[in-house]
Amino acid sequence: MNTHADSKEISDYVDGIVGVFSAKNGIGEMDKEAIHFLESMTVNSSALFK
Amino acid sequence: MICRKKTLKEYFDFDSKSDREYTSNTFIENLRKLRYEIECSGKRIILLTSPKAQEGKSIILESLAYTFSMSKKKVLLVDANFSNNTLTREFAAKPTLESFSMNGHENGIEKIWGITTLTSITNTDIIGCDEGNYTPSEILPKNNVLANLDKVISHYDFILLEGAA
Repeated sequence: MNTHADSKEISDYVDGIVGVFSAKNGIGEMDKEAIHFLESMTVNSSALFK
Repeated sequence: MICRKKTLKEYFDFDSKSDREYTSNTFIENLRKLRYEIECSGKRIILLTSPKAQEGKSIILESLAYTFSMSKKKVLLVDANFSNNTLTREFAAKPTLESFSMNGHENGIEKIWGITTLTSITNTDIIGCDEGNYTPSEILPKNNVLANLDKVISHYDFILLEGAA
C-alpha cells in the first residue's frame, strides 16, 4: 500500500481488509500512513503479525 | 545432513487424530484464530494487503484457504496482485481477471466457472491474473469480476483477494 494504489482501489469491492505485517520488519513512517488508511476505512480491518 | 523448510502443504498435512497439545504449532493455531475472527465478523469478501512487498500476503492467503478448507468452507481466491502474481503461478491458474467481463451475459453468473481454476486445496478455486504496469481501474473492463463479487459470493462461503502492496 506504500507503493501502489491497487489495494485502495480494490477496497471499494470488499467487505473487509486483513493487513499483513512481517514481524521481521519494523514499522516506519510510510507504514503508519498505510495503517491510518486501514483505520479510516468504513470496513473493519484486522492485522496479523507473521 | 540437508535441512529444508517445510512446505505449506506439509504444515497442514497432519493427522487429525493426533494429540493436539503435542503436535500442534503456533502457526496453525493463529490461523485458526484468524479464521474464527473472519467468520464472526460476518464479512465474506476479504482483501489481504500489506504496506510493502514480501510481507507474506500470499502465504497467509493460501494458509487461510487451507484453514477454511479444514472447516469445510468453499473458497474463491482472486489474485489481483498485478505486481507479483505469486498465487497465479503457485496454482498454475488461468490469468483471466483482466479480460473477463459480464457484459453481454448479465444474467449468466455461471460464466464465472469458465474463468476459475481448481487448486490443490479442497473446495478452493482461483481466478488468476497477469503481471503488468497497471492498476485495477486502468486494466479491468466494465462489469468485471470485482464489480460482480456480490453475485459470485453466492457460490462460495468466502472470497479472498490479494492486492499489490
